[in-house]
Amino acid sequence: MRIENPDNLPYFVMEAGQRVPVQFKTLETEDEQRITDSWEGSVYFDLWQYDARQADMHQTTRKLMMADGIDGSILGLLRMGSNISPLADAVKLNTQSVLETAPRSQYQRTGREFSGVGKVLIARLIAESILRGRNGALLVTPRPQSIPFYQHLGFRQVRRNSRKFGIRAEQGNVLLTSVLLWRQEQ
Amino acid sequence: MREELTEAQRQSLEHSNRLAQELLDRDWMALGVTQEELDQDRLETQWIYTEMDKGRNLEDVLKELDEKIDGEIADKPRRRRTPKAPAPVRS
Repeated sequence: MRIENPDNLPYFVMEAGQRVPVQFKTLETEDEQRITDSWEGSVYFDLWQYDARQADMHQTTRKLMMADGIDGSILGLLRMGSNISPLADAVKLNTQSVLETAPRSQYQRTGREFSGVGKVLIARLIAESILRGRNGALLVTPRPQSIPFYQHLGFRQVRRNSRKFGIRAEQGNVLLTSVLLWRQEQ
Repeated sequence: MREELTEAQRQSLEHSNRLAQELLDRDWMALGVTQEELDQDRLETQWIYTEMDKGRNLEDVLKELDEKIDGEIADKPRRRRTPKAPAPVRS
């Protein structure tokens, strides 16, 4: 798969059984209010608020929104770590990527509004892995509570008792393809 | 390619990184994992990506990491176990 800009791929999530096109955009200062209004209770609430408030962080943090632009709500947030963000790498902080789905659409939540948001956030990291010549392989160190979500997506513990989970290049490509609108229907 | 950073950018990134790490580590630390172990995880991840950027695939890098860790465990001096005291006999 040839990728020039992972933000511009035609991702989709599901809403009431329908595919809804979504798009990654750069975080903006105005997003701080959106986050305050609808992300309360999220695990990384303080981080998202800070990243929205600081213009310097906008380059490293992306928001996932509906592509039609009618609904301005943020479905997911992704802060890129030093292994994919040149800016973060420049500080040599060894930052890992952080991602989160909006509280009302989180994995296994009853009555969630959209499904597949977390999967798209991961797919965006896999697209970055392809762009950087890592062929779609990806490593994550999830919070303990998020491990079932990653296992559901095909991530496997890298060794016994490790906190790291990985997805191999082939499976990574399958996952990415599964959330792109150009996928050939089986 | 490395970008030139202003002091303000550097401070923002450092603060954001501190926030992220505190939030990421909090739940593991509640389970008894130490800060040192979590920092070691990050170093390992960084090493894996550096190796992948040399053109190696993930499986090969993880295999090498496994061998390294197994080697380190085997090199550690084994602690002699203190024999358990016999259970008291009820009369």
